[in-house]
Parts: sequence; C-alpha cells; structure tokens
Amino acid sequence: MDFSFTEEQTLLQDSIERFINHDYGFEDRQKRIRQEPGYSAAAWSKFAELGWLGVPFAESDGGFGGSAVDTMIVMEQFGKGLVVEPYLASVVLAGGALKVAGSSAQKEHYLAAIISGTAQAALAFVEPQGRFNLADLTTTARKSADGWVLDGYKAVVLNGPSAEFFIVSARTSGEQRDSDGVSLFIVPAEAAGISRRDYPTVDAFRASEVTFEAVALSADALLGAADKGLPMLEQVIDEGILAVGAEAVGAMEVLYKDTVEYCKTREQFGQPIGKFQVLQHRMVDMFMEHEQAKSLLYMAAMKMDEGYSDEAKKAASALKVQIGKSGRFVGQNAVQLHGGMGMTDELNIGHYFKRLTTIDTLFGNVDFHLKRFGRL
Amino acid sequence: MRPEPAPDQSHSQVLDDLLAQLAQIARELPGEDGSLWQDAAFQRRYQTLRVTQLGLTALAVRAEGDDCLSWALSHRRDVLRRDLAELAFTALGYQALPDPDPLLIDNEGPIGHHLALKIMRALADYFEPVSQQAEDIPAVSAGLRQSFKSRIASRVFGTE
Repeated sequence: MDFSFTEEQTLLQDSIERFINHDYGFEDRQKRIRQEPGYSAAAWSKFAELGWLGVPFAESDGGFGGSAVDTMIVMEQFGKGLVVEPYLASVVLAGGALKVAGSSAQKEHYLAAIISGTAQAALAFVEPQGRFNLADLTTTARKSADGWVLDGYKAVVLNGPSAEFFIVSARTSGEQRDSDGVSLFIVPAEAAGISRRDYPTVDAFRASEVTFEAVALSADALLGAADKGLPMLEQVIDEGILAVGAEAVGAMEVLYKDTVEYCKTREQFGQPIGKFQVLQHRMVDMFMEHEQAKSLLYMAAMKMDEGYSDEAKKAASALKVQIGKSGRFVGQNAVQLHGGMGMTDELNIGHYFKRLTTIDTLFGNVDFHLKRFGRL
Repeated sequence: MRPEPAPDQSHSQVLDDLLAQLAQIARELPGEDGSLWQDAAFQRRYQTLRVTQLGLTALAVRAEGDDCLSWALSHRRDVLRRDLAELAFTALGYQALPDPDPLLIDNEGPIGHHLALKIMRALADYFEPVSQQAEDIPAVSAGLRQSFKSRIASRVFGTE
C-alpha cells in the first residue's frame, strides 16, 4: 500500500485548503445557513469554475479524473471547513448514480449540468420503513404505454429543496424487500404529481420529504437496467460512505486541534489546563482516534480505486464503523474539554459535533455496518 | 531466551492469526442458540476487533518513519491485544483457566478445547516482544500505555 498523493492531488488539496482558510470562515458559514437556499450560490459557482464539481467523474464524461482518492481529498477539506454546499448530495450521490448507471445520452444531459454547476440534483432512496435497507421499497414504478408511472414516498431527501431533478429508487417487480426488482429513475423535480415538504436538518443542511403521485415518466427516465438497480445503488452509497468518511476525518482534525489550542490558553488553578496530564492524555486519545480513522479512510479509498469488489465493500463498512466510533469520541471530548462553551451556537465545536453525529447515521450506523462487515 | 522483537508486518500477522483462531473456537463452542459464532453479542465484539485490526494495518503503513504515529500504533495494538484476550476469556469460559506444563499436554493431550491453550499462550507470548520493543519498559500494560500517551502529548501538542 502506498498512501502518498500524486502532484496533481497535492495541488487539488492545496487549492481547496486555501479556499477554506481564506474564503470560508465560520461566521460566513453561519450567515449562509440562516438564508435561503441554505448555502452560497456564489461559492457553488466557484466550485464549478475551479473544476471541483467534476472531480469524481471521468474525463470522458467531462470530469477531472474520477478517482475515489480525488473525491476523498475534496471531502476531507470540506469537512475541515464544515462546508454546507450540497456537494455530497448533488455531486457524489446523484452524480454518482449517473456515473455508475447512466447512458451516454443521460450523462451528456444530466451529468454535464451537474459538473458545470447549472443544475443540482438529489438521490431519493430513503423510505421510513426501510431503515438502512436499500431494497426495502414501497415506492413503485409500473410500466405504462409510453414509459413509467411512479407512486410512493421518499424521506430525508438531502438537497431536495434545491434539486432540479431526483434520482429515485423504486420497485418495478418482486416483493417489498427483494434484491431483484429495484430500478432507478431520473425524475424532474417539477413533474406533475410531485409534492415536497422542505426543512433544515440538525447539522444545518436542507432536506425534503417527497411524495410521488402517479408521476408520468418517459421510457428514457430509467437509469441502468430495469430490476437491476440495487447493486448500482449499493455502489453509489459506498462511494457516499467514503465521501462522508473523508468529511468526518477533516472535521475530527479541526476538533482535536482546536481543543489543544483552547487547552493551552484556558487557565484554571493558575495554569493552562493543557498542563494537566489527565487532559493531555484525553487529547492524545482524540489524536489517535483521528489517525486511526484517517488510515482506514486511505485504505478504503485505495480499495475503491482498485475496483468495486467485496474487498471495497468491506473496507467501506469498516470505515463507517470507525468514523462512527471515532467521531463520537472526538466530538464528545471536544465538547467536554471546552466546557459549556462547546455547546453554544457561537462556537464552531458544537456544529462539528452535530455534523459528525449526522454522518454516523447517514448510510447505516455502526451496528448496521458491523453486521455487514461480518457478512462480507 | 526472549524472541526477537517482531517487525511491523509480523505484528499484523500475529494479530490476524489470533483473530482467526478465535473465530474457529467460536464456531466450535456452543452458544445460546447454535454456536457461539452465531451469538449477536460475540459477533459485535469480534467484528469490532477485526475493524480495529484493519485500521491498525493501515496505520502501520503511515507510521513508517513517523515517531508519533508509531507510538500511537504501539499503544493501539496493546489495547487491541488486551481486548482480544478479554474476548478469548469470554469465549472459552472455564477452559481459559488451565495453565499446565507443556510436557503434560504433549504426553496427555489438551485440556478442554483443543485450541484453548494455544490461543491463551499465543496471547501471552505476543505481549513479550511488544514490551521489549518499547525500550524494555516493564510489561505493565497500564504504564506502557500512559508512557506512549505522554510522549505523543509532548511531541504533537508541545506540552510538558
């Protein structure tokens, strides 16, 4: 295993790091999340201009290169800045579905729009009864004379309010939890029969509950082969795990470093609290959790770049377990060492912790992925 | 004579072997419903250790030439070994207790499960080279771990 970056990857990392340090201060972020649409349209345009929206995609599709390590680099830096622009939802998940399953025509139309920043999208795959089971679907798509008719309900659709189109998982045959019979569809957000209820999430992102009532879709709305959508969806979600894993690692780094700096300046009993060995050792535990999670992240990204195999799936689940545990440990201890301030809205610490807590739940929590890891 | 300190790959290999032995034992021992391997609580603890081991294998690559990461790796391996020993004790129950002379085993056969003595001995043997590698710090687990933490605090955080 070689975890070193190429020259191009180092340049990418440096450019995003500069952006986060100079143009993405915590106060600016807080202003953005209080206004519609919940992020900065100007920042999104800049992401497009700098080519970051094309990072996960192949050059032949108009992208930057398409390696998992590249996406990891972007997301780790975004995690440090606690970036709220919908990169995960629109680029990694919806764009990822088009990358994995899209035809040339679909990529030309939809993926190009995502990469250029002219359109945003959302992956609608969660249903209330399904918990983390991607195959547990009550949303159905049945064949009509000239295409498909979609009926059902999707919960917590990340970036739902800003999406011009959705990628929707639906059952086209079989029973509610069958592996076969799942299909993916591209659905315009303004199509007749769609209603949305928008809301902010606990970590300051935006999401929607989306209802589909007899939504008529053309035949070319089908993404990939009919009934064979589950393996594609699983790959997209595993790439999503890698992305949020990188984001979590970036967030953990900020948390432990900010905590160390705080403990060097906050005085108690006539000296900085960072002088107390019991607190030093707790911060070392935070450092070690971060480094262990970062190591698994690098390994998982490399496995993913070697091809989407059982080994890659296993590494993705291991990463999800580790960031769930490490994120909770680092977040809780950052709050504890900052005292009451760690819980306030004015300080960044609590906001990082909220994001880490959300990441633990996204795409399956620790228990779910421990079981999956054991099965693979 | 003590064995030579194991290089990094050997550490990983030893821990992988111990995990594999434990899995074999769990498949052969009875649980509440079926074998111990099918027990949800055992599975949760066992798979957690495997994830940790995978993470440490990756950390070992990054730790080459980096003192702080090497200390973190040593500390984490020590904790993993302890957790592995605890789970082996839990799995074996009474069969973890015998500590007979090896000659007795050679002459009269194993006591209890045929892998019980092997894994408990292997866990004890593994600890020896680890403690020797850490500049001959006495093999007192808690002291060893705290000393690694103090070194990391001093180097990474610049605290005394």
